[in-house]
Amino acid sequence: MEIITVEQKILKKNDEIAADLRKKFDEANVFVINMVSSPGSGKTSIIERTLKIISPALSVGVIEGDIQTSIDAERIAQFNIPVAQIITNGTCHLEARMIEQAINQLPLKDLDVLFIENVGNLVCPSSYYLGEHAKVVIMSVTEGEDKPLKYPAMFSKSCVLLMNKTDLLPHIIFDITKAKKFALKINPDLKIYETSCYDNTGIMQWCDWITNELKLKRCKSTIG
Amino acid sequence: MHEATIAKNIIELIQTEFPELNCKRIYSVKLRIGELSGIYPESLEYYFQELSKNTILENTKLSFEKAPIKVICAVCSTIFEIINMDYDCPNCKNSQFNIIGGDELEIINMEVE
Repeated sequence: MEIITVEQKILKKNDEIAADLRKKFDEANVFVINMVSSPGSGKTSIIERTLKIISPALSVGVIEGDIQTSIDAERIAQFNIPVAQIITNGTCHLEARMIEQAINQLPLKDLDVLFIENVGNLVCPSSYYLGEHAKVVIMSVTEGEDKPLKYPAMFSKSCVLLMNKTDLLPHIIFDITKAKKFALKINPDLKIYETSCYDNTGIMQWCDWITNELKLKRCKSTIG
Repeated sequence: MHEATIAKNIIELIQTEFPELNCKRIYSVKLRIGELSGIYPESLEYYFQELSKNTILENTKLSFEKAPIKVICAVCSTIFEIINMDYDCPNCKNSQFNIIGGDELEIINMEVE
């Protein structure tokens, strides 16, 4: 018997493709946001509300990841912006190689912002880097305030938390202060915005974050 | 939850990294799996056995080394291990920390004959 040392990350190939993607995104000067959440927390609705505000002033593209249907991509296509659909056929997360294929359908160099809507799942997508500049996690108030503690990997790797569906707060038992405390416990640098796609609470502030980050990124690349 | 994909990645990685492996068989592959990785060892083993059929890894056993969740206190920078998220810093009692370990998915080594 002989022991052969390997010491390699199992997702090495994914990380290599993601690093190449990141290079492409930077060369194209596009700000890429990976939107993650559990199913039904409002990812597509947030993207729709965001598009209403930042497009067409900013040129936006969307990659829609879905296990089975193209319903979300069809919703986004109504905004007459470039959309690429990935149907994963059962796979519970997006991988870098899927994004590599999807960007061939997008005019990357013409875009300012690219949203990647990941598959609704708070576990697996946290392991797969897609070359994005920011991971944004959405949590709706109907999910329970302990979500950040139950899915710490996802919340700790995200830089923004959108606490969505706040219009429902008067009708449910949900301690928003406690939820924020839990999220900040495992990620003290997390930026939190309370949002509602029903009454547009917080959408403008979230859009301001995007435009500011885009400015900062472009400022850095000019200096660099 | 994504054990099938991870099993496939392990097989592909070994085939790519060791294309000219000169051995009768790979007896076992040792993995380092973080407590936060969402991987259930028994499920990974199942998919690995299925997907490795007709490859050099057919009948190879998987063994597991668990990597604990490691965090660093946001105030005093003490590094400590936790079992779940319901912990405070043992040094300064502050409740906020950054996670620095526990999502590992790595191949440590393999035993060949």
